[in-house]
Amino acid sequence: MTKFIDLTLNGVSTGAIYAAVALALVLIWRATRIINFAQGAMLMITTYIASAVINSTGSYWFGFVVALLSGLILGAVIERVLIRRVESAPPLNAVIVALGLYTLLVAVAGMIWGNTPRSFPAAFSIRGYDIGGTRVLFAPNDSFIVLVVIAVALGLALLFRATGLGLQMRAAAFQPEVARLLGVRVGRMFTLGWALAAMAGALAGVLVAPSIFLGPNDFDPILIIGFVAAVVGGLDSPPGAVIGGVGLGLGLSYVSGYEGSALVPLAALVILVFVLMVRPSGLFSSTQGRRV
Amino acid sequence: MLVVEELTTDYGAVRAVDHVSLEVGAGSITAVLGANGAGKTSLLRTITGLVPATAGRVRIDGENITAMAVEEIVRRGVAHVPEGRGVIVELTVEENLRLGGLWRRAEAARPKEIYALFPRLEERQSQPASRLSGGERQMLSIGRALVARPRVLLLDEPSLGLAPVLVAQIMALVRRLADTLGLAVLLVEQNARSALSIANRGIVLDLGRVVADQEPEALASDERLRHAYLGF
Repeated sequence: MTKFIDLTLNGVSTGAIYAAVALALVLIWRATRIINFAQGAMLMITTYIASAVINSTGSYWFGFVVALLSGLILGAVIERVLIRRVESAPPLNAVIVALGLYTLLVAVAGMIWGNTPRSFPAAFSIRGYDIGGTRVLFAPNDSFIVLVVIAVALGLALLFRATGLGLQMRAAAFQPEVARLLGVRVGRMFTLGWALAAMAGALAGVLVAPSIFLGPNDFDPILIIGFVAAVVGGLDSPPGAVIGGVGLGLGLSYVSGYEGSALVPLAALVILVFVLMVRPSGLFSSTQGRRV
Repeated sequence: MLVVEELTTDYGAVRAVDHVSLEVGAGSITAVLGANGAGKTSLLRTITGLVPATAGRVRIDGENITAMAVEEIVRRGVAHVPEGRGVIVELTVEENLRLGGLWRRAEAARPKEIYALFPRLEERQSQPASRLSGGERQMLSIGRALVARPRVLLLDEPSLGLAPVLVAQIMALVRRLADTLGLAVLLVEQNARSALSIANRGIVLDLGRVVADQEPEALASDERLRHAYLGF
């Protein structure tokens, strides 16, 4: 029973990180109908920037804020400079651009910071809480992870549901041409969508970095699971991304705890295939499947 | 108000709009008629900047808007209700309406003012627009265009797919809007008879060219035009 509770708590915490990665992918998919294969490399870069800031200033929080801001800027610049040119081209062009960007960023990170993985500090203690004399697998830092991801998800929900800006972003995503006819500056909405997505990705990067090592390729597994979470959640639904992320975190935590961690990547793919067989458009998608 | 001079649009090698000139004054309705593929929709899309003009000019109150981006043209007071209505079905009725006036901030019309014109919409304000009937969608897209308090209204086939009684209602409303708000209306229609019943001027397009530009009564009584282009 203790083991079950431990695995559940651990699943919620890692699930929150998958949710943040899934949100990053979903925001970009909604805005521009592009799967951002460069997301892993983008959040790797912002985490390196955070690491450099923390090392030189000694302040975790300064590095944390810089990571989010640099994510915001990186996302906006990538959309304006690279993606804008392929937005109206066939989808494959955007995929190739994203893959090229991934390779470029990984190479640049290796050139600047080297390929030897380094450690990254946690915001709070990673010693589990002591509950009734037993130490659970959930630490103050896990509380922080869960709370900050909840805050970001709620903030995004509020932005999309309750503000004029969010309404314009949704309109630009659903029907760009009609939105333009109603005076929405669609290009800006796309840039903003990429910026917010890259910020959610940057958040996932600094949250997950303490539990893995920081290296140019070390975020790839997180990204793959985040991608599965996004697809399971329906790919265009932010709440779906959060539920998909946490659900996958729990499921993979149980698999890892009861069957061994070697099975985790396989389990993620089994879940993906199963969900796509039962509900091809994902669990929370509002769009109808294409009929052929 | 709206002046179009020698406007020309090409899709690759195909000329969709061929040196079209027209004028619409405040409070007046100009009907653009013609068969499928005559260039009516392309004319509207060129005026609002959705497709680039090859040659010619579009002016609003003397200001040349030809090469402007769609968003800027909208900010000059042009509202375009696209063919097929362009209701965003993923949003609610109220969200569709609010969206139409966001760029105008405090000067936009309140949804209440639009509901006064279309009481049906008020009953359905919090429903997704996907639940609306064809007639209600047409009301929503016209209402949404009015939220920004435009001076020029471009309507693309508002009668498409509507029952005759609804067509008559929509046409009467367009006439009323032109009269009460002083809107300059460019009305693209295949339903020539009902469009001419409210228009101040009628233009017939064929293969992108203006083949007739007359008073509605003169157009309606011209046997040759009616048979060749207007189908009644």
